[in-house]
Amino acid sequence: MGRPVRFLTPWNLRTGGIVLVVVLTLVVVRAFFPGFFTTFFTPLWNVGERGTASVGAVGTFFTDKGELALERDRVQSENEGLIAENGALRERVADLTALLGSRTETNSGIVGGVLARPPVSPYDVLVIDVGTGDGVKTGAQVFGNGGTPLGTVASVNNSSARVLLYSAPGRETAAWVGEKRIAGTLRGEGSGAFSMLIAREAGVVVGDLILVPGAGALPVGTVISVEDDPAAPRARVRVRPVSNPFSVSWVTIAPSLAL
Amino acid sequence: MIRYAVLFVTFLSLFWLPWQYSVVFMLIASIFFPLSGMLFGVLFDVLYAPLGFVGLPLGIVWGATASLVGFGLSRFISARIMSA
Repeated sequence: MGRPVRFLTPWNLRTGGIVLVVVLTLVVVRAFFPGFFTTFFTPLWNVGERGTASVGAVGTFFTDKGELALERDRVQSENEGLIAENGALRERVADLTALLGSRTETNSGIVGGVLARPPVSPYDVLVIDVGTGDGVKTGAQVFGNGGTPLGTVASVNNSSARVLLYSAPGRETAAWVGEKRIAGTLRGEGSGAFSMLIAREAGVVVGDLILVPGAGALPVGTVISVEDDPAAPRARVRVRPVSNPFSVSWVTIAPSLAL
Repeated sequence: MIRYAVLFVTFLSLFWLPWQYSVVFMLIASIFFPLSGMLFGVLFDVLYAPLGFVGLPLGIVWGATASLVGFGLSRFISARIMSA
């Protein structure tokens, strides 16, 4: 019969103490200097970004299939941007037609590179490499390809910032649906997906654009299904994002739209 | 040596790999160093949880789970080796 294994050995206690001190240090530093860790670990994220690009390039060097896949990804990304831009322009034309003579100047933004994005982060958060030093402010709206709204700056330090996506689980954003601009609340479901509850009589159909306020009304997604339960007063609308947060590599931040 | 390599890979996975892989590495690291799961879980949330986040701190939850599983497995393995 073997000896029982002791749990509170001196080694375990010493290790536990060290881990406790490290954990408390992490929490305290994060609480008082929120941007410290993003600044400190930026080189690691950068290496990861470069590594991902290099690994992808190695595969495509040897095969035509790989080249085609890369080309397809590039075209898909470009197409995604053009669809978003087209949607935004269409809505803008509609707005300007209704409000003839209103201001038409464009907002200049701050361009930032994405250091970390889903699925590395499970919270639908982007870590970007621009901060207060570049003019980024907390609450500023962040845009992806083609000016698609992605989210807002949740926290910022001198050289980096965290962007909370509109699709973050549980996040609610005021939005409009379709050409009639039916108002509703867009709810984040995580991983870029959204849902929305809309009155059944509203007439929302698959393919309708979901718009959020920005410089006019900007498209964030398209309706992919409408769950119409006759027993419920409202229909649940499932929304696919216009811009895929898993592949966003550059963003634009609007400093003038800080909340 | 392998155990330290696992710790290093787990650390890098927080920055380079999808979070599902990080959780798996946390679990593996916890078999060698049970408290490392908790440590990596806290670091995970420190890196990615937005300020004012209300909800389940997933990194801490997974880290704590990995640590508990690691404790259980390491004690089980120790007991088996001693009784053999």
